[in-house]
Amino acid sequence: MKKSKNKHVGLSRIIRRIDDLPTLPSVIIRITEQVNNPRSSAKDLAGVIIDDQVLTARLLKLVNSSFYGFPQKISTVTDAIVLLGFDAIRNLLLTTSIFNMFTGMNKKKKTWQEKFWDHSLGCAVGAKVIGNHIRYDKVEELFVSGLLHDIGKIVEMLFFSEDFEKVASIIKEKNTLMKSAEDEVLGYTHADLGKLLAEKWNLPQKLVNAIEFHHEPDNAGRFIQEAAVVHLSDIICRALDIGSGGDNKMPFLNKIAWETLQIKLSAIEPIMEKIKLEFEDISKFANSI
Amino acid sequence: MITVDLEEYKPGMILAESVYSRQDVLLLKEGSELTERKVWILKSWGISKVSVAGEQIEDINPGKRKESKAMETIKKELKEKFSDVLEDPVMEKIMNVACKQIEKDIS
Repeated sequence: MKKSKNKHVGLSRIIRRIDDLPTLPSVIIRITEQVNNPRSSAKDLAGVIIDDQVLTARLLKLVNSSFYGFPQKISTVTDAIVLLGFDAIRNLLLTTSIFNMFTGMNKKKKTWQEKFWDHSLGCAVGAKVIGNHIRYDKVEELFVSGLLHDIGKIVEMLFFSEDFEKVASIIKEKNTLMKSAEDEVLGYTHADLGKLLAEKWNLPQKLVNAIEFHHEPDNAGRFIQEAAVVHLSDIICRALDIGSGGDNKMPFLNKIAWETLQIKLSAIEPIMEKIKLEFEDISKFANSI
Repeated sequence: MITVDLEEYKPGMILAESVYSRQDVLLLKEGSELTERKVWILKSWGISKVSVAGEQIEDINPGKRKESKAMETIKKELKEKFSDVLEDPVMEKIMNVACKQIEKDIS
């Protein structure tokens, strides 16, 4: 009873401050509109991107990087869109924009942020690898879900820094999970905060759910599979010490999530090996964006 | 002259001192070259360390020892990290694979 009251107070406190949170760059919003509009063409979408020089340069740099490995140089935005597809372009620009939005906001916490991004990137790669293993058809979406699952943590650090410090000292004192520390002293968690931000940004519901329920995928309703993939990927990245999410404990593996994924125990080893290799590959490339 | 652990011997090492069994039976004379078969015989007599000719080239061995010590620390930390969840066989598997991969990275 006390806990749910706490939660209510905690949540309404952050909801009141939702307007202070950063907004997505308007160009990303326009890109999302174009992607969601079934009538728009590659040329329409390109038109929006070309308006923004930084975004154009970033996109061309990305598609010409070794990560995609296209044999020929891609020199126009329209070609990039045709090659990668609408959704992939939107996801690419969305995630790089979000990363750039927060980078360097707090100089004191630079190391923490770097470790945090590594964890996010690892989780994205992991979600993709697990998605491929279970033959999920849109692994691109899982990648983005992994990348953004802990976005609430960075918002907590940058915009609710007093809360964040409280949580950090509990983690240090009790060696506990960040989520448990948040439950104890804040009454809301980074997952709640992430969900609010994702909704404010009008991100697709699938993504909102994966962010909100990455610790309790069995509550994710029709998106249980996506949330379960992110949940497992998070656990594997923690085990492999890929970056850091701010604590040093393993969360419980949600039984229902594990059963939903139908992964054999013997597949864990090859999956983990693949995640480690792919992360090493992509992190070299991501640092150059 | 250096003392080497038979587990870490390199073929071609020359004995700097004769090796005797616990009952003082001469097993190998000073100057003999260590081979896989000879090492196997020494081990079966319960010998674990021998003196061989050469300079103190210990930098390989302590390094290895340091590695295994580092590995022990890592294993301990990993166990601590997983302490709440090891009842779940999937989590146990994940921990063991992680341990294996870290070991691979170190060597």
